Amino acid sequence: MPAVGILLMLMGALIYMGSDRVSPDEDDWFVRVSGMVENGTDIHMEEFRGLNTSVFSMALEGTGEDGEKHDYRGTPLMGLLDGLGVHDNATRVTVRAADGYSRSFSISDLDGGILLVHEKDGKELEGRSEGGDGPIRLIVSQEHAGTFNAQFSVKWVSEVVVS
Amino acid sequence: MKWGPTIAVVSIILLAVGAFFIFVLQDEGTGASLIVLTPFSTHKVELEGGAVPIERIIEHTGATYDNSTVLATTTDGEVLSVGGGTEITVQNGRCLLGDDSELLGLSWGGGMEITTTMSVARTALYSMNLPAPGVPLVWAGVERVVVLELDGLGWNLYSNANGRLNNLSGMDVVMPALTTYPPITNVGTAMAVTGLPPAENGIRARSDHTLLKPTFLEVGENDGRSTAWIEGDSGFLDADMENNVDSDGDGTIDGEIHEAVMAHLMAGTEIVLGHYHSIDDAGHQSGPESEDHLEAMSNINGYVGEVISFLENGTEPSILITFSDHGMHEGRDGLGVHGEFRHEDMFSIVGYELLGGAEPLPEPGLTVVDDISSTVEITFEEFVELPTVEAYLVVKGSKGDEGGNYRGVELSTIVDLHTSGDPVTIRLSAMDGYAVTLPGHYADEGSGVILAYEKDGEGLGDDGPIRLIIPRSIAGEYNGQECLKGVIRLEVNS
Repeated sequence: MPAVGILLMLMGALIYMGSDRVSPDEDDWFVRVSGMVENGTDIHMEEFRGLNTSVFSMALEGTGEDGEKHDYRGTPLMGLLDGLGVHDNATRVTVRAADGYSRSFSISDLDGGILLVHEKDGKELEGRSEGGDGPIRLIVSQEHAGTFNAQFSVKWVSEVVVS
Repeated sequence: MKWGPTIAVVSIILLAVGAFFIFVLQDEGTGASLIVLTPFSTHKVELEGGAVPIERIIEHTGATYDNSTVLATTTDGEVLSVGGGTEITVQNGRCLLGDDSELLGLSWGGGMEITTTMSVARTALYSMNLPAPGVPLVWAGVERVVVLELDGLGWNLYSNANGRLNNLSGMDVVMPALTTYPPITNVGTAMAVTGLPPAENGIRARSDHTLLKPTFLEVGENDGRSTAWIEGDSGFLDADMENNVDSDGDGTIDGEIHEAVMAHLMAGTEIVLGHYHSIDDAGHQSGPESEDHLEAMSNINGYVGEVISFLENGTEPSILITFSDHGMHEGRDGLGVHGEFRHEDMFSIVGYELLGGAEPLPEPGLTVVDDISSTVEITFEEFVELPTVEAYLVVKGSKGDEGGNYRGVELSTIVDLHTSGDPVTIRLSAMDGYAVTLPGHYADEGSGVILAYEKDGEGLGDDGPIRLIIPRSIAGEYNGQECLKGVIRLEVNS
């Protein structure tokens, strides 16, 4: 019996390790930053809240969004990556959601209009199981993406890969 | 006077009358409207309650049904081929197919041959001799498959392109192909790359990203083939994609995508999917058939031409398949939109060309294996020349009864002609890898078990070319799961 239990645990661990998608537990959410960075890391929520964040007033236009401006607290993606040491020859950043959706950006295009946020109008973003878009979401400004910016603004962000 | 008993009696009467209206009269209740599409038109047909044959529904559009393919799109994510004689039940504002599938609408060619975008994956897989979930556009054997997805190029836009898409129109075959609802990129692409409708592949809405069935690239990769799915900056499905960004800042990613496609072709990658976005992007941003939109079509035409030229001059037998995930129509502000059940959005294109010396193969017949003596290959042409029978049979599955006049060869005929010994079991295998094993007595003369190749005078389409039909008198009421589609092999164990 104990041997069967150990075998099952090992199989579970192998399956988890072999799984490509980063899908953290909502009670312990993190964003994994990896690829062509000096200091790849998992940024947990407590650490994310402790970053140098600001409030940005942004509107999202697209399916499921109200098109109105809301106050999002977060940090520019490029600033976060700079702190982790992006390699000089890296050209692209891919932001992935826990459900497998992703969006890629040219590094040269990353500006202050692409943010990772954790609060909307003073409230923490809820996770997917609660019908929310968080705990961490990407917001891409309309100045950057055009009018219909919701499709670029990845929800449930769990991974950022620099390549 | 005591009113109590009177009130009770009146209440009971009122309840009975109400129940009568609800439960007895509902079958003859309000009618419904149904959308009927052709590649060039959208019709809203008003139907009264009851059972209405599809021929009558087609007549409501002003056309005469010509026995061609009619495709039913249902609210539960199915895209089904329905034949003449199929009845739609109109009841309380809904149009129902079979037991309970509510229809979004019907689509037919209106005189043109049509297919669905499921034929993309089916053709890609069959061409590489891999299990396919349905009949391909062409039977071919190749060493390389190249699929180009031209996002947003609906059939009507293609038809009005005025020569701008001459490399596309010059392919062996280009035809209207029904996509699925809603006609948006992730749902339409998923159906094309899996060969299965949303009800099976799991991608039904914009918010769905996780495929429940493998793409044709994954099937190929699992078989040891080299594959590449070259995309833009969006990973809109949970699949292995090579994403690209607009590195040169020219406002479109298609240049980078095309560069990656050509690099893979030159490197010899065996299965390549390149997804080009600029036609759709220009349509959204500037409007259908605007200058920018037409220019995008011209650019895409150039890319298609380069791929054709490369494959044409190569020595590897190849197939090029082009398709679009959805179409587009002009919205209120003049910009392009899509996502509605209308012909501009729902009719895409599918095309193919055999290159590099590839030739079409004959339609597959039947391999008969006798464990005692021999293996016999019967071509489809030879199969239909065998002694045939015709019978009205009903196949009952999850979508209800499918009755029809089936023409085919009795199982006993095949077994008697090509095997020796008394069969103990008979195993039939299909082109998608599925198989059933039957007891030997199913091959007894007069059992009623047939290998059908026609229904109601027409080929079996996605259920064929050959289908096993076991009467309900033998298999039981729900015989659908045993009536194997796409049979290609029969093995007798004596």
